[in-house]
Amino acid sequence: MDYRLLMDTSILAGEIIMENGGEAYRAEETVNRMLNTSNAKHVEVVVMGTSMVATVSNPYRDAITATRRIRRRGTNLQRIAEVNVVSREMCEGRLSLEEAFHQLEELREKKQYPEWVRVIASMIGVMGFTYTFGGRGMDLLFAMLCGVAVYAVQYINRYTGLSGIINVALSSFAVSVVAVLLYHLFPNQMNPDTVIIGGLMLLVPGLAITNSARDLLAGDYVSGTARVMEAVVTSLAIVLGTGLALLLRSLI
Amino acid sequence: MILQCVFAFLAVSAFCLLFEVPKKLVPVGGLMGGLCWGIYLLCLKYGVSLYGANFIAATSIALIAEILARVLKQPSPMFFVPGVLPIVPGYSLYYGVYNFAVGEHALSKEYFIKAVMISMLIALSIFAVNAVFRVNWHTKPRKN
Repeated sequence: MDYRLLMDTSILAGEIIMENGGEAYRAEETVNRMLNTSNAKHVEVVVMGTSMVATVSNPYRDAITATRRIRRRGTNLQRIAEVNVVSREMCEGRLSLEEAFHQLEELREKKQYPEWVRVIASMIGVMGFTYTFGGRGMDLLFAMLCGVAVYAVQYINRYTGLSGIINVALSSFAVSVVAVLLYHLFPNQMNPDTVIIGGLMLLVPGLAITNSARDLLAGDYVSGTARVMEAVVTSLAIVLGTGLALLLRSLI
Repeated sequence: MILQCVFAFLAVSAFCLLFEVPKKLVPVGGLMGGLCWGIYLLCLKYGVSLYGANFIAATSIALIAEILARVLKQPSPMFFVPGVLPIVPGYSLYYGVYNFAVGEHALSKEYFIKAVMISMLIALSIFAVNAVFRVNWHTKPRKN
């Protein structure tokens, strides 16, 4: 058995799970299961929120270790589901190691929806939440504009390579500024608060909150607290961006 | 109220697209979101406190998500993350900032505490439901 390829494949699976918003214990379990197909004596996988280490060792053989630093952080639930499928099929022997590796490599960059669908989705998303939080009439139209604003900021930030936190701060600033400007243009026709709340729903750290709870419950305190901090810092970034815009509003 | 749930459904379905949920499961995620908001509103209507309403909504969503995950053989975040979106505290967070910006510090503190409490309640509900589902009902106790 090709231990090196097995190690590359397994750690790639774990990496994809961690990059796309999976829980640390899920990544650990998946990598562990895949490495255990080698029947090695010792298999250890440690996932620590922002990095992961895996080792396979046998007596009379060199140990193989791989380390990965998780740099990207996004939400892509489909990739997590598909990694699950690939790892299960590989462990049951229905998929060869080479095929599994290639499928995972392809999966890593796979996107389901084209750009325009995502723009419309963020428009409708912001619009819907603006309504549920009490926006009516013209608010809904303006909310759609805010959705486009957030998407534009995130699209630009893909090329500037700014960190996730600054991205969130800039996006929340953009939402608030657009809403405040629209309020100044059409003073009596909208309620800027509901529009901003709708826009912020795109940015609130829902996934970090749920994942931190799951990781802490699984006894994974390092990853759990890392996720808690992610939620806290993301919220602070939202507060910063929105706060700046609201201060500008009170200055005008 | 029904209209609000419909809009929550729409919004969460759209968010599902942003989260790259597979096409077949987008309406399911949207329904979870609509249901979550519906339960939350019903609780508030029948006099449950704000925190109680959040907890009940999150717990029922967590429960349904775990069941769906087993029935449809998908990872459970697929249903849970969209489902719980409407009650993630964006509202309290915003009013916390807003009141801070206009100088109402006491009110702002209240809203920020609310946001933290609601996040903790969501986490707590996952704790409770997950703990039940993690019990191994079939296997015998392990010998040490």
